[in-house]
Amino acid sequence: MKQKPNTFSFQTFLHLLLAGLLIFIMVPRAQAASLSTLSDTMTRIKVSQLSNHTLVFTTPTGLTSGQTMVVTFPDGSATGFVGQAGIDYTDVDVLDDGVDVTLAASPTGTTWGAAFSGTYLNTLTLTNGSAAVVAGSIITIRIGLNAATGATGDKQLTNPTSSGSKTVTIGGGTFADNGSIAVPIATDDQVVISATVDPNITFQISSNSASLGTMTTGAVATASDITLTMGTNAISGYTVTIQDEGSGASDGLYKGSAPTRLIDSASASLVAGTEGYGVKGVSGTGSPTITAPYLTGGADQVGALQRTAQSLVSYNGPTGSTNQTATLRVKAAISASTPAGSYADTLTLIMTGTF
Amino acid sequence: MPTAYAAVIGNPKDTLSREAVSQAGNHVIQFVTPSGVANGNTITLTFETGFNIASVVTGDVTVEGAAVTSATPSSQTLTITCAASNVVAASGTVDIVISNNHITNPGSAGDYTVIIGGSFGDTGAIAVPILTSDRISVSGDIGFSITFSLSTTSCALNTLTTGSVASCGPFYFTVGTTAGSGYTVTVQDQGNGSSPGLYKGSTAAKLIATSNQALVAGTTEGYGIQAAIRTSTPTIPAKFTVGGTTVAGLLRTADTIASSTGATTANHEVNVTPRASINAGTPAGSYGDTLTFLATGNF
Repeated sequence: MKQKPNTFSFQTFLHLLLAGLLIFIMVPRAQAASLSTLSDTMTRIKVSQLSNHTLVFTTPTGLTSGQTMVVTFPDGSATGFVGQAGIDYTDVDVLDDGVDVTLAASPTGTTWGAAFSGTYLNTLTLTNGSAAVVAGSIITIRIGLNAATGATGDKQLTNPTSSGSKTVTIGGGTFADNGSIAVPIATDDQVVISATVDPNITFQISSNSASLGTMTTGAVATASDITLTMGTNAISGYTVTIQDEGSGASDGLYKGSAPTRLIDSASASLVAGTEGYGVKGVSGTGSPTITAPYLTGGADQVGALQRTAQSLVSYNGPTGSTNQTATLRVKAAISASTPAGSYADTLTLIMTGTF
Repeated sequence: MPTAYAAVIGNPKDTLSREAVSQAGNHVIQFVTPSGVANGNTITLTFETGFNIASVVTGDVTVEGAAVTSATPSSQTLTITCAASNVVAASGTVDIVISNNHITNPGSAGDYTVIIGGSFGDTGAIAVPILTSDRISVSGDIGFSITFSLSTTSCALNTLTTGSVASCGPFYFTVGTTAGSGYTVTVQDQGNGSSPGLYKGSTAAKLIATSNQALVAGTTEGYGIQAAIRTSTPTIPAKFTVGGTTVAGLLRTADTIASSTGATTANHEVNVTPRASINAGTPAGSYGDTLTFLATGNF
């Protein structure tokens, strides 16, 4: 009688063993699902800087009443993420599909609990209230000054002291899902731009002479207009002053040859046949300000010249990309008794920028 | 009188393409036949109750890689009639292949038997395991990582003049991540604290505003940045990838300057060039601004 080979029974044994092992492995068990679409947007990523965090992720499982979710910022040491002293639920916002949930230190009713723990306050535990978070919900967690719901956040997390990729974990507690987010910590996250604008100022006088011609008692004499051109980037603008030479002691239109004579300068409306002398200003491009008494209304009204510098034109800011202009008009009148001769005067114009 | 015993096949095995319950699959049955298989012999394969072989047709079956004369299912037994091309010499190995997923596994996990017999004269049995599931979903995480760095922390436009548009840099930032959905780098402008721009904080304060514009030396008071790929393939919004003296305006809110939609196989680098222009009336003084760059991984 042939003996049945033991190959059959041995192979059967192996198959049974394998099947049993695989069945053991494949027995359905509650397994953590992976969070998806995770991000953590920070306001600063420089080492040791305070920063807000906005974490966003999708939970495939959701949360049931009372489940806890733990957000852990690495690495639980003084050189890792460190919560500011006093950081609490008021520094946190939680949104379920964009809808704020109410937070408190501990859960009650539909209110969630939120609390930081650990020596370095780097672990945030969120405890759901009585309302379920449905599967597939998008959870947003704001931490820091960006927590605006309810009390406004006033505490943040300080970034680690060393640069590199740091991994924030979400999960733990009784939350069925988990996930991780890496955030970059950089040596620096800012570039400081600097620039200098040098001060500039320009001043031009269209002519250095103004002839009143031969003055008569029949008319007020007027010299050709002189154009003043001003440009500056002085932040407070500029002032153009006018100073009269006169006789060297008194202002006016002066006849230096004997017998000397000074036609005094005074603010007045000149009248033919009456001695008088002065200037008037007219604003031009850029509308600079003509200072009284040179800002005159009448055609022959003039302002008095003085031996000390008097403001003639001014502007209270930079002149812009286009220079400003003003017109200086010199006028004089004589009487029948005004001695014959040559009269002269020198007007000194000074522009000063106020930077 | 000697009793005629059927010879027992050797080294039998049945390799299933799927071993999960209720899954349709193929079978490759191999064994050593002491007697051999002759032309016209039948080989019967009796699958334990639970297997469904009703869909098997002749075209599904080969023996020794060749088509058979017929393959007929009946209840749990598949009878294969061999042709000349299926002949196997004594002590040779028989290879039977049943394809096209026409055999469905039992609905319950356990150990099942296929009994081999037929007119070729040998007999034997093979055990096959049927499992609740024969597949393991494998998942893996590449280490979560994102890095970011700046090539400098300052960029001096120096003395701005009306004769030319000033620029500095370019400086560049470097970003790399394993995030499956890539990264986003934003730039945010400090300006004067409420409006973006190049700012002179000393009295009297002055802000050179920033906007998308073509700067003109001596005419346009303006400020902004340009961005361009330095290495690899970051995506840069068109407003930044301008040339000449055209610049992109900066914002007081985080504005995306570079991004990717997937993990970076190599670090991405982006050049950034600030530019500014003034006119003759731009107030004299020292101007400054701070650009903050933030990288966020999209995991």
